[in-house]
Amino acid sequence: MLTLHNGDGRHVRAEAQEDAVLLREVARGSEPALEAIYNRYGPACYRLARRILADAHLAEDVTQQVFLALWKGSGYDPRRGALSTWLLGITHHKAVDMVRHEERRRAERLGPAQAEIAAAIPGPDDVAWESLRAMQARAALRELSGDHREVLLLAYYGGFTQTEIAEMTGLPLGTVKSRTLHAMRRLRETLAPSLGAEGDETR
Amino acid sequence: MSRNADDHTVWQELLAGHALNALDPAEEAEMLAHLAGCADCRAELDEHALTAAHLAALADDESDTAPGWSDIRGGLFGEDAPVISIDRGRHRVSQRLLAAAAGVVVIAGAALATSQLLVSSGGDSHRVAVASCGTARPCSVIPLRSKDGVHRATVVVTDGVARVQPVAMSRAPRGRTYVLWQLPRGRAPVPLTEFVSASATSGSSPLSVPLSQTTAFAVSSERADIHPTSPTHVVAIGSV
Repeated sequence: MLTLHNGDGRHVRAEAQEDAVLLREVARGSEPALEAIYNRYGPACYRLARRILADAHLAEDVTQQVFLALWKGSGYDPRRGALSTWLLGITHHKAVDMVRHEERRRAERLGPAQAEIAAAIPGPDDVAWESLRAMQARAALRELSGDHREVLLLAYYGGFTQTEIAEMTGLPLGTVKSRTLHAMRRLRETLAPSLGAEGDETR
Repeated sequence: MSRNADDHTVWQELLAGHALNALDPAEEAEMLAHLAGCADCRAELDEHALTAAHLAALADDESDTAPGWSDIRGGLFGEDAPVISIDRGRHRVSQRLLAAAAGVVVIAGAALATSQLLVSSGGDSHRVAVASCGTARPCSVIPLRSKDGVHRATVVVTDGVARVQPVAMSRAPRGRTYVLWQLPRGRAPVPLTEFVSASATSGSSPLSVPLSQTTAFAVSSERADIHPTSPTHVVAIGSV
């Protein structure tokens, strides 16, 4: 399941080190290493694409494109963040590109339910922290005002441009832009104390 | 379109849109050109990317079955491609190196598992917690671990009541308290009890929903004067 590198726990560092080893092997042409990375992050990429595209086949296409990009020489820079963050960013970018070519689908699936993101259902032990992140992200979203949450979710999950969001909502484009910035910063601020310093106060 | 280079707010707004892939093509090109020469913007973009990735976490619903590697690889290498390591002309893949890479993964995992096992079995507090089950049946013991895998506390559930037993926790700092949370499946977390002491069995509370409908328990550190609606500084967590 999805792992994001906010904290500096040993478990997280070990995972980043494993990613680095696997990436080196991918660069040398190892399909098993690519498969290992897929098994680690592919399902999260697929589910994000599926959420945006509302189509399993298109989501699979996007996931293939993401891992093809990784295979071909990704441009991933570990100094700028975790591999999971990069893969999800690429997935989002490709899914949004695809959804903009699927206008009919977008119109069909857009609705109030889209803004209410379904709960991630955690599984066994190791995913407890990751499911907690989903829960905390959901809680952080609730901290936003409805206006700010709307522009954020229309952009991220709807794949709409800010111009399109302005047209849909009747808001001036400048308002959409400022609300987006405010929403991203507020979300980051809300997430920071709970995710950036997990486990600091136990000793 | 040209921007006033001194008005960085405009770029920051564009940057947020860029992070969400929500800019029109002209603005996107403009933003990319600016990014190339703006280290501050690149740093903020990395922050936005991490925030956006947390939004992605909301979509990571495990009930939505993802395709396996065999489904994906066909699109990368062709349906009939043999499942082998591929020589792309640089040099042949070293099976020894691959095994070493796998070893790193396995060893790292084993080291973590071993340390967890030692901590779990070695703590007197944990044994006290387990012993507190007594003859009660059913009795469930859930170890809560910090992000680095250290066993911090144990939750014991008997007869629909949860008790938390700190294992490796300091006393809560002045002005703060520990809160035990139940995380019901698909619902908002529920605070069960608060405690400060790190030694004695620290508080008990009836479950908000049955254990069978519970995903996990967590202990968080909170300000003593505020009753949060969700855990803000999670110390340890353990799935049921």
